[in-house]
Amino acid sequence: MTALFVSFTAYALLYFSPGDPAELLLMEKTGGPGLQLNVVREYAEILGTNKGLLPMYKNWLVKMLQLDLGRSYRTGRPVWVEFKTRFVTSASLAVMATALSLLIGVSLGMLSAKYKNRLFDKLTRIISAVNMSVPSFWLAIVSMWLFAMKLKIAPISGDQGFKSLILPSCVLGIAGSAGLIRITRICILENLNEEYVVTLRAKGLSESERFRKHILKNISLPIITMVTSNVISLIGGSIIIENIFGLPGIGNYLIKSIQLKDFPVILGFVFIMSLTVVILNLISELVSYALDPRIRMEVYEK
Amino acid sequence: MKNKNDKKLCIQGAILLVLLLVVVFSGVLFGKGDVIHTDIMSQKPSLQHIFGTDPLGRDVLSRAFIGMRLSLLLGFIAQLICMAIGVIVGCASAYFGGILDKLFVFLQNVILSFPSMVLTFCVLMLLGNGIFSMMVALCLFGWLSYARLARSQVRAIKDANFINGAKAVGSSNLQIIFRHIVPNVIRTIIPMFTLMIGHSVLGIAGLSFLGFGVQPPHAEIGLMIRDGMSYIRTFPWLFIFPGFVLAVYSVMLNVVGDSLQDRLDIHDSANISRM
Repeated sequence: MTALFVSFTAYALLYFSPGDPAELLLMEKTGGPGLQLNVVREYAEILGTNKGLLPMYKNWLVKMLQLDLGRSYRTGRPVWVEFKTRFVTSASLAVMATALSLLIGVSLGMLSAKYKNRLFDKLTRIISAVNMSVPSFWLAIVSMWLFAMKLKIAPISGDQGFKSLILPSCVLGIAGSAGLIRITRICILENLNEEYVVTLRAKGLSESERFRKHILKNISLPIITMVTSNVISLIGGSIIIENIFGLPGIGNYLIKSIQLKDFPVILGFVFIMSLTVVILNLISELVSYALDPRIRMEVYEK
Repeated sequence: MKNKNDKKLCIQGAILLVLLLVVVFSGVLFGKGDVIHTDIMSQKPSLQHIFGTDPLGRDVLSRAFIGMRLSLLLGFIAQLICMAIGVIVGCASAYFGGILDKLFVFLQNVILSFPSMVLTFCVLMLLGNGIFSMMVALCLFGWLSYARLARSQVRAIKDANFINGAKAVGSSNLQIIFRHIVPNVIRTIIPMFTLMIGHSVLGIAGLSFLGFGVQPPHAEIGLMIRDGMSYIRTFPWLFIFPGFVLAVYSVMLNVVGDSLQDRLDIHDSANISRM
């Protein structure tokens, strides 16, 4: 439902924005202005972009329900194929970045909670505050300059498979870890003051046991929520990073398509993206459902 | 404990104030630097030009601060608009409830399930590149976080005694909202406002970096970084220093926002017990 509404809004927005897709595409293909009006009209006829907003949207919707996302105006290939070939890059970028941010965020957060108010904790807090406010595109360029140009240990940009993904995913991962450090630290400190921890201590559980068996479970919920929202923002937010490193990902392709008003591609991509967001939210809710008996209780009471 | 925190906040606030003053008077302080000098092109950082000069002989330090002025001004205006819309919508939705509230929740779900960057690009395509469309795009999303916060706050105090009292003496809904509810909500909104200015300054720089926001020849941090990127092999100071200035400002805005949040929370409980 939401995904449909989103796709319609996107459609309407694009429909009313200036510029005719047929004209833009022909200009891209022939490489310049000076097109004849009847050529443009014919091309629009082929693409089916000369109809009104609603018929066009209806066409797309009917096809979509048959799991056919249409073909790209620009390349003529099916949208699904276009998506699939780029998905691998973007998805592996997102997965690597998320894994890294979890690793950095949770471990630094735990250590900083353990050494509360000591030097390590203060340093970590300063680092995470700075990290949160440094623009990631700047971080990307500086790291590119440092690691690819000066130290020459990473490829500068482009399509070199796994190797060219390392630097961008590090940048995204570090940027995503700032919030995680904070939330992990705060949650652990809050939990340490709870009565159940005191009880566990009285029972004679060692610190590591207390931590592993009980506290970890309690802090995992907010962390999952945070990671989910991080991943969601990565879906669209890696556009800038993909752009800088010249990665052949979804974001880069989407910008290009928006500029050329390649309707089927934009719609298809936006539709799949919002579907992904819905699914991710569902997964995160299911995980918290499995982890927290209180949420299960709430569901049963309804 | 409380005094120590207050002291910290004072120091942080003072630093931010000085930084903001530098930006406000950047025209006077650095106006001379943003001029093309063909005799000092692409100079390395030196004592005269601490951040070096760009290929047109303009002083990078001056341009960075002048660019920061533009970003901060735009961020401030955008957040002011967002705050006004967000607080009104949030308060109204929570206060009146019913269909209005349901509509708001639906809208919120729709906007949140859209990858925000994508919608921003759609808006920018619709309105064309430039400062105005960038502001529209920023406001389109920005108001939501204020509205959510305001809504949750209003829901918490909606049935408080002082509201019921105001109703009992015959205040109209509008009076109640503006006299009694908004002043209570605004206290939690202000720290958010500070934090969000930091956010939107980053957002503006990001969009300008991609070439969608502020257009040359204006000095803007994102633009400067983008231009500097083409000289990445030869003149790295062109992108390192502007980004550094941007980072300093956004760090300070974040830090002050955080401290304000802590501080106002403490006061929250103190005030209620005093009342």
